[in-house]
Amino acid sequence: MKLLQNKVAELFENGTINLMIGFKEALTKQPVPCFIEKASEIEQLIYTKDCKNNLSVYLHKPEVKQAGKIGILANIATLRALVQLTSENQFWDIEKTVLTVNDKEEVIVFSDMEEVEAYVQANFPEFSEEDLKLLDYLESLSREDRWKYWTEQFSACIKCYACRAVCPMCYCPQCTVECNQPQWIKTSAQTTGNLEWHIMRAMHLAGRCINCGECGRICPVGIPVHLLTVKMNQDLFKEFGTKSGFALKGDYALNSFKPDDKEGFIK
Amino acid sequence: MSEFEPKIVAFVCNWCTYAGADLAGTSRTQYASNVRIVRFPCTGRIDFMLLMKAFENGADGVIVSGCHPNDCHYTSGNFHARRRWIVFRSILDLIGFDTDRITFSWVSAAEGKKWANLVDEVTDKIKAKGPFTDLDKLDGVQLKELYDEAITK
Amino acid sequence: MARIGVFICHCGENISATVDVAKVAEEAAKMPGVAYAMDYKYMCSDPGQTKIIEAIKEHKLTGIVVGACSPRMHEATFRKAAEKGGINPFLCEIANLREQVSWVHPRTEATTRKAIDIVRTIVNKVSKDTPLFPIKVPVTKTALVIGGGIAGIQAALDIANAGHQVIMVEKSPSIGGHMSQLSETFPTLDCSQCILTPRMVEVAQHPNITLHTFAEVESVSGFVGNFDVKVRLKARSVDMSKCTGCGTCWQKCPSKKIPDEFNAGLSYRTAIYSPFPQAVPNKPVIDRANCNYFQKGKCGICKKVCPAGAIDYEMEDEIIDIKVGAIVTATGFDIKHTDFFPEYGYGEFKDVIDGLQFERLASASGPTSGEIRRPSDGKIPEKIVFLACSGSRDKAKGIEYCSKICCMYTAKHAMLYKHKHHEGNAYVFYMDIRSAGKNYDEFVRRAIEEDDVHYIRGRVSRIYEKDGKLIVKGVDTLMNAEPVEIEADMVVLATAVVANPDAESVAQKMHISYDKHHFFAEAHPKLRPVETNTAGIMLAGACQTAKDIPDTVSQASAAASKIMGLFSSDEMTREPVVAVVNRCMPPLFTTCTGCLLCLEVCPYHAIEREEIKDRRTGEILKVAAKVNAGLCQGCGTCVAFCRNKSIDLQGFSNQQMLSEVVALLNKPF
Repeated sequence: MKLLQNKVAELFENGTINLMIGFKEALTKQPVPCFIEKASEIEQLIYTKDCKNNLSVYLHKPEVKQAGKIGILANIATLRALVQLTSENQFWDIEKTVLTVNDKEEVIVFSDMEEVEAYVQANFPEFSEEDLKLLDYLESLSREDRWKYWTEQFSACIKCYACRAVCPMCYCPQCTVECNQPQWIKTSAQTTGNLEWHIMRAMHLAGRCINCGECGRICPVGIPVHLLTVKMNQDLFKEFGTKSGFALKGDYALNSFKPDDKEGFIK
Repeated sequence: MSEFEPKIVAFVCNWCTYAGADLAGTSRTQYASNVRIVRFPCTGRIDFMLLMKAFENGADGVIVSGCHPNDCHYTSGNFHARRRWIVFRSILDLIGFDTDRITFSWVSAAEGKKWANLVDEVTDKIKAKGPFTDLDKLDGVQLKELYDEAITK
Repeated sequence: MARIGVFICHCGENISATVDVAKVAEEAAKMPGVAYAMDYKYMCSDPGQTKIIEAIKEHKLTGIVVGACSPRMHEATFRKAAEKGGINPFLCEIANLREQVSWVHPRTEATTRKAIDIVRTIVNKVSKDTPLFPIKVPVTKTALVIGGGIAGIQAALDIANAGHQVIMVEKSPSIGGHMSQLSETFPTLDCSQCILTPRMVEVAQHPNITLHTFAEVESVSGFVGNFDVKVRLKARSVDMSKCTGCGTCWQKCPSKKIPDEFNAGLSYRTAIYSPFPQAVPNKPVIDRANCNYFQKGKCGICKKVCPAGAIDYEMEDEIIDIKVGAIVTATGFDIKHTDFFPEYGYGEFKDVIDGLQFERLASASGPTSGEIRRPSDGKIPEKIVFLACSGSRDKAKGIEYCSKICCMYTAKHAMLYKHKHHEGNAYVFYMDIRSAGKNYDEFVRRAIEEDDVHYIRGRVSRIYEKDGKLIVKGVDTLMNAEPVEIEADMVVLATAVVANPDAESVAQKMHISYDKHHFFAEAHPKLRPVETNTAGIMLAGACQTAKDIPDTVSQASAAASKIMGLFSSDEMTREPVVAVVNRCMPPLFTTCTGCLLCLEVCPYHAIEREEIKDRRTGEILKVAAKVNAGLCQGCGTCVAFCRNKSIDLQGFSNQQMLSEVVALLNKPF
């Protein structure tokens, strides 16, 4: 911990950063995000295996962007998000310094995004086993039972959009759900509108989601929404060999094609 | 009660399938009148959201059709559309949506007969399946539950 | 509030026979937004159109729906009528009641209901229509022709003769291309240079053509009618305005052992050189990589001997900016060389040569003055074996396609040899003979029947040297696959036609597509074979795929005529059905996220990155996508792709499409 704090102190001292986004301890087991603006606040900074939040989401916020030179403590999901977002031409307007703590508890300060890319590619995470197990279970059900499962889940959705707020890929200044000319999605929290919202979200994240699982974790009514995008990514890799958050020069399945793409359903 | 007549909406591209449907007309090929065509410039323009909207507004079946691979008037709109459909179908599948109600097809400007057959087949299939009520039930159930919950409190 | 007029056509009885047209009009009149509805026997006739025009004025209509035949038939007719009536033509839409209703369904209530539904859908679409205005793009009436082979020459002359300016850019020191290297041409056996050189001279002397040889295109930006091109004029080290082309310099140049590209490596040239005697312009360049002065700092003989003082060692590459309205890409092809074939000795056997080398041997201007002699010892070969399909149609070699010209030129080669050496023996190993074309098959038959060329159907597995002979081992598949062994003096490989080594980078500079073999892609394989996907850029010749001279010339003329059509008016009018990225008040400026993922989606490279800047400080406030209306063709792929609906397609907008869907479904079918 001291190592990390010293490193960040150094970055503040030599003027590399003037804002650090990291983690601090909380009453719960899981640490929470913290924003450090001066060296004297560094002592609260920690990093443990329980640091699950994807902090890259904060880099979109105007309040954060104002700081200009930003340090960010990144777990592997955050690093993937940064790679993906760079491939989507985001963050051209800030200077960011990316740090991570590896398995050997060494602090790494990346000098550029290429280094982040190399690190991500060397440490590319598998899909979580828990998620895959759930998906397997769902796929073992009949179509009607899956429909029943998901519509029951979605009927609980209160359209709080926490899943969107926590997602680093949901950075549109105006979401389609807020578009009212025309109104694509019903505003009230009824199941059809909820269903449309979640299908749309999954479609927009297909091939872009970096599987941090934050959306499922954050959902106040406990809908495992992240499974939708996990499945999408799984399929895209199977069909087209693409991986999200893997390369700086985008490898996005839905803005590319091959003339001989295979499908089994077009008559 | 009269026989169930399904509502089928067809999203088609202007250059191939729309022209193919015109050809069915000029060749006087008869087919089921349950289909309503919405014309797009290209399959690449067909937004998956429109498919969802069609079902939400009461369609019993949807046809999406455009130029065969390599025949796109805009060279690659249909290739992009195909990838999108692959993904869209897969998400609907996971959710348990009845993907049998969506038929994707390539119908060229020369395939008037194929168009007519496609419409007939889809109409028969949807007739056999019956009206699409999965979505209607949803909100009904939820509202009723909320109501029940409210009065029991 | 919209005031929409609905006009239902009977089309004689074509529609009214199965659709109750009066009922459709009656129902239409009740639809929200509809101010007037009528039906008439022939809406497209003059009286019919007059009725529309009068109704627009009388009922102050803001939009019209015509229920008639397919929009593919008469949309333009009715839009013109709408315009005459005083409303924007894009506020007129067609409900297809003939091809998609009356002709395909019997006379039942359901058919009439379907007609009413379709009219309602289109009424709803029109209520969301906005006036659109044709996009006018100014046209710079100058064409750029890239490549000075026969394709480029033909295209340049055609355009220049039509009275337009042409700029030709050729990367080598002279125009002429591969055709200038050929000896005789099939199927007439007329001399290639005799028909080509007058054309080359015409290019050089044409008042409308500006010729830049030893030059390459650096970059292309802009769009149809308005391209900005940077051209690199490579340093010739010779002042063209002073040089008289007398040739003293290359006679005195001491570096004489440089393989001569024009003679396909069969002879040598000097470091200061003009590629061939009929070169245009016939003024030399210094090949700096092989020049003593540039490599070792010593020599300078050419400068000393030049009577005109034209040698300039200090000359540097120059980049010029040109503005053109259209581009012909005629960058030509390359062939595989003998080193591509391990089974035939990796190019180590001097007397195994490729087709282009044979052309030079047979050419009167070639290294042997047209006598066919072995490169190894200068002897006249008594037996020559020709191998067709060397590399072509060979999946294992990565070249699945047919190179198209080899069957014909191999027959020509064998014939030329036999004409020069009546007693010699010519053998041709072939897979199939592909000689489709005017007088082509007759030509091949003549080689076989009159000139006694031995055709053997089969492939050659191996060639090796033995006692000064080349042993060719193959099979004759028409003789029960019997092995054949020929002791030859020379072997000519009809090697595969391939794209130029720099084709990929050229395509990327031009933003045009190419196939996996790096041949450039046409906009449509059948219907738009000379255009590329980028409006204003045409293809001519073998840069698209292997082609012979007649095909190349036809395509070049076709490309030229496309450009002449484009140049026929000062402004180009384009349909306003284009995609637009939305704009809104600052600080948002647009809802576009600037993710720019749509750049890849557009088949026309019409979407570009735009920086929205503070007008005073120049600070970048936002990065967003921008659609270039000059390039957009209106497919709408980007519209469905954009996650947050920041791009919309005029004429097929999200509002319009969604309202059509909703209108369709809120009634029973």
